[in-house]
Amino acid sequence: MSISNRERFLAICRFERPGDLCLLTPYINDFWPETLELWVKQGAREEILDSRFRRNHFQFDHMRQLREIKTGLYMDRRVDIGGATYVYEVPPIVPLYEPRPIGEDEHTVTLINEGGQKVRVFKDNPSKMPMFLDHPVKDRASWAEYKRRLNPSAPERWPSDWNAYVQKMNNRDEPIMLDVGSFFGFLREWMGLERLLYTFYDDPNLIEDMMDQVCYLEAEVMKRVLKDIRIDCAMFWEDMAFKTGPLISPDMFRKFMMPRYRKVTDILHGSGVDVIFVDSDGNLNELIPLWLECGINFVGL
Amino acid sequence: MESYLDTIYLAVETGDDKKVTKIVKEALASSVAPLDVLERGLVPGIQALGKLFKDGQVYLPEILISCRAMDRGVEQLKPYLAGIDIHNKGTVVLGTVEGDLHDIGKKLVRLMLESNGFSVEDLGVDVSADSFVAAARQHSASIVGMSTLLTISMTYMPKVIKALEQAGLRHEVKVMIGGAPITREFANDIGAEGFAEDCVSAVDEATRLMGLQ
Repeated sequence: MSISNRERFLAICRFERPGDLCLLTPYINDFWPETLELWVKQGAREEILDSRFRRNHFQFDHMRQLREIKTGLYMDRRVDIGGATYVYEVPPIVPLYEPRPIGEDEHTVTLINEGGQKVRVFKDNPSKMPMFLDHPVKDRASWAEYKRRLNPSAPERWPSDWNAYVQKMNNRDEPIMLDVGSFFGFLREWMGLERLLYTFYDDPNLIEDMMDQVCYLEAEVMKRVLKDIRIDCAMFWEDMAFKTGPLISPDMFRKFMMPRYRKVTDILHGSGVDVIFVDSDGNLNELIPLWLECGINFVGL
Repeated sequence: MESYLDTIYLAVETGDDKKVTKIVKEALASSVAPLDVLERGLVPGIQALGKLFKDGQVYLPEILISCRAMDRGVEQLKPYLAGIDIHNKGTVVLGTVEGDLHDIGKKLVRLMLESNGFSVEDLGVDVSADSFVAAARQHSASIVGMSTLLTISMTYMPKVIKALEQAGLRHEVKVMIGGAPITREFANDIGAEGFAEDCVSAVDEATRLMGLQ
C-alpha cells in the first residue's frame, strides 16, 4: 500500500515506522559553504555545490516550510560584499531595516543589516559568522519602536493571494512545517546576548513584554494558518546553549519561557499538530526535559 | 567590620551591584581597610560564585551581574588603593584568533579573570599571531589566552604558538586556549599548556599555570 510523504513523515515522528528515517537536513540547516568547498577539494563532485544536486545525491526527504508567512526567521537574506555574499537570517519584522554599509577596514566591512543589527563581516569570507556590534533594542523606548514591526496583521507578513497559497500548500505531498517563533533566540537577535542576559535581571518586565509580543504574534499567525492549511509540524528556533550547557538557568527557563511555550503548543495541539520541533545548538541536556514538559518533542542540533 | 565584609561577599555572589556600591562606601567610611574590602569581601564573593557555576547552580546571567557588582566595588576602592597593584596574579594577553570575530566567550573569560585578580590585556577579535607576540612582549605577559568558536579558525592557534617560539617568548609565557571546538586533547596536540572549558575554569587554569594553586 502506498503512503504519502506526509503520512510517512508523521508515522516516523510518531515512532510507527521502526527502521525508517527522514533525512531533512537541508530544510533545517544547509551545509556551510566552506564545508562544501572543502569537500570539493577533497574529491567531491563540483555539483555538490548545488542544493538541488545535494538533495538528490543524499536522498534527502522533502519538507516545506511556510516561509512566505513571516513568522520565523527570514532565511537567506543577502548582501553583496565586494563580489562575495554575506548570507544571514532576520527575525520576522515588517518592515525590514534598510541595509547599508557604514565602514570598512582591510579585512572587514561593517554594515547595518535588514534586522537592524550592526555587524562586522569578513570581506574574503562573508559566510563566516559576523561580529555583532550593536542591536536595535536597547531599552524600553527602542523596544516600543521596534515592537511596531511585529504586527501580525501587516499585509507584508502574508502571501498576497492567500486563497491560492492555501490551495497550493494543501495540495503538496511533502510535510508542511510552520515556524512558531522563538522566546530566547528572537530576543537575542533584537538585543544582543550580553544585554539580554543583563536584562533578565535589570528589567524582567521588559523581557516578559518582549516574550508576550512573540506569543501574540505567533498565536495570531497560527489562528489564521491552522484554520486553512493542514500543518504537519511546527518549529521553534532558539539556539540558546553553548558548549557546556544552556545560556540561562532551567529556573529562568521555567519562569519566563515555559508558560509562553505552553500557550503556543496548546494552540497547535488543539489543531492536531503534535510534532513540535525546536532548533538549538549547544549542550541541551538540561533543557530537553523542560521542552518535553511543554509539548515540544523534537530537538534539532 | 566582619558584617560589612559578609554583606559585600553576599552582594557580589548574588550580583547586587547597587548594594555592593553602597556597602563598600559605608565600609570605607567606617575605616575598614580597603585591602580587606577587596581580599575578604569582593574576591571571596566572586570566588563563591565561580564555585556555584561549577556546581551548576548559577549560569551566565549570574556570572555577568556578579562581575558587574565586583567591578562597582573595585571602582569605589580605586582611589584608596593608589599605588597598589590590585591585579597582581599575573598578566594575561587575551584575544580571539585571526579569522574569527566572536567576542562573547572571550569577554566572559576576561571578566572572570579580572574579577579574580588577573590583569588582562584584551586584544579583541581577529587577532594575528604578530599582534599576540607584540602584546605579550609589551605587557610582559605570563599567559597568552586564545579563543575561537570556529573549527576553521582553531587551526590558527598553533601558528600563534609558533610565532611565540620564533620571537623567543615561548619560555616566558604559558598558552591557554578555549572555545566551542577546543578540547584538552587539541591543546595537548598543539603544545598549549592550558585549556579551559568555560569562563570559570579559565580562572582555575590560569591560576594553575601561574603556580598559585
